[in-house]
Amino acid sequence: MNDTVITAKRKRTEWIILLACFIVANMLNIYSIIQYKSSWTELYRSMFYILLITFFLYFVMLFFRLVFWGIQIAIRRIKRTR
Amino acid sequence: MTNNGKSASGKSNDLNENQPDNQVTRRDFLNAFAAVAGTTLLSASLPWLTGVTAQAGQAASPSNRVQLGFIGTGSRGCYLLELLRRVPNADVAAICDNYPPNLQKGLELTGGKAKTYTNYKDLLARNDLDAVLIATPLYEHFQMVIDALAAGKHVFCEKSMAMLPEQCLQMVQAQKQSGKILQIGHQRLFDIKFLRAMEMIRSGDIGKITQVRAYWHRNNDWRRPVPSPDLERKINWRLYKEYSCGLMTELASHQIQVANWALGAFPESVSGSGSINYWHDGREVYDNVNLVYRYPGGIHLIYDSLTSNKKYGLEEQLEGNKGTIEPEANRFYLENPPAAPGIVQLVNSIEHKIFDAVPIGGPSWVPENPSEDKGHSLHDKVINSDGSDMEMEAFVAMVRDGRAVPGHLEQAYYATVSALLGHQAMLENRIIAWPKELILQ
Repeated sequence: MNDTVITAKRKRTEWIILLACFIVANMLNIYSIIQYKSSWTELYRSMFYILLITFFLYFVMLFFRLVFWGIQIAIRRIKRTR
Repeated sequence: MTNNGKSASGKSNDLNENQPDNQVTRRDFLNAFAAVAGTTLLSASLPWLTGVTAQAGQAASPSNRVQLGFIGTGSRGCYLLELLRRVPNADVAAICDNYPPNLQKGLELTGGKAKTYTNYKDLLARNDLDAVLIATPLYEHFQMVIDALAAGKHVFCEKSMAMLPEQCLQMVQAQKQSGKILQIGHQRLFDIKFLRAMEMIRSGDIGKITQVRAYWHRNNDWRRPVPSPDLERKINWRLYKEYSCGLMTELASHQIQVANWALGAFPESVSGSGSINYWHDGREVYDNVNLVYRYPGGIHLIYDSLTSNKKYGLEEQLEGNKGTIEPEANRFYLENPPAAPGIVQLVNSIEHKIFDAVPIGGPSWVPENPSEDKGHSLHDKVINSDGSDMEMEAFVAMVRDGRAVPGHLEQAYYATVSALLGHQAMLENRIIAWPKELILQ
């Protein structure tokens, strides 16, 4: 089995995506606090849910990215065989 | 207690201090009890509690030991004897029962130390006894209590007080004249769950109580094995109207006491219906009862008890406009529980929008299904006690103090008379108003 190399660029990209998901989850939390008139303390008291949503968003994005990469690889192979 | 609302309780083997692995030791139990009983709201309405806990926690010393006589060593009597063994400063010096097998069981529980009697008057004639405990069939309570108070003894008597309201009144009067303690076995008055419930009620946590529903459902014939046919009535006395008022005095009186306590009042009137609809075995008391008690302010206690179905067990549901308390289950429920965090509401909302079916026409009526709220515990610590142990602690402590405390006997009186009036209402098939002459002055 070949070694898998994760480049520094890849790591940085994944961290940025995870951070973006975290920010989006927090924005959703702020929206829900305003929408449902709940306490602002939920900004930190709901951290468990925020992290849950963060990883949910991250894995949803990962799914679409994997699908996108899969299609890209398939197209390249088709072009090579022609 | 007045009708103006001026004033207001499983066997446990877990209270022995020699059992360190148990969830709650006797000391823990006393501390928990003291914490609840010591709250301002409860100490105002139940004045005996704080004093009792302070005394019950005292270390044993030879100088202040209480000498007790015990009349009636049947199943309940032996249970109380078992509990008394764990109370410091309490010595059971004499026991009495006119049924030899029970007397022998009682003697064994005292380690063979107690002197035995078959006639309770001989026991009462002893001058070295501070107090007597009576756990005999209901029809014997009245005379035994009167005789015991006349003999200058402090008295603990199992519930219910007596078979007739007038007898209950005489017992209260005899207690007042003697200046001795008369405590009736309403153990829920010493049950932490119930104390917490009353604290919540007094604090207004469940709002105004507008209805109480109580029930006690069993599925058994309530019979004890009889070694010889001529002992049937002696052993199964609960089933015969000469000796008992059946479900009302044996079960309902406990729950009516809780309702009276919670509402701070006694009923204005009662109506009901009872029958024997399942156990056609020669019994004379009802095997099911259904009653409605009306309290001041139009508040009702809806009560039923049956012996042919146990799905719902027993409970007193104290229903207020802000919440419900079920003390037997150690739970309370709020009408409007705190909302879930905003983010959870948002996720639920999105989920409903995606997955819920779209109605073609709006419903004109939404089914008012029961709340699915799981509620909260009244008391966090798991205490496998129904209050009987603390009840024994309390009695011994009060005897040592030599002082009858206000409030407690009233609770028992109004509970028993309420049960007896309910029994009468069923027998006569009419609404019975509380007689003025039965209001304690």
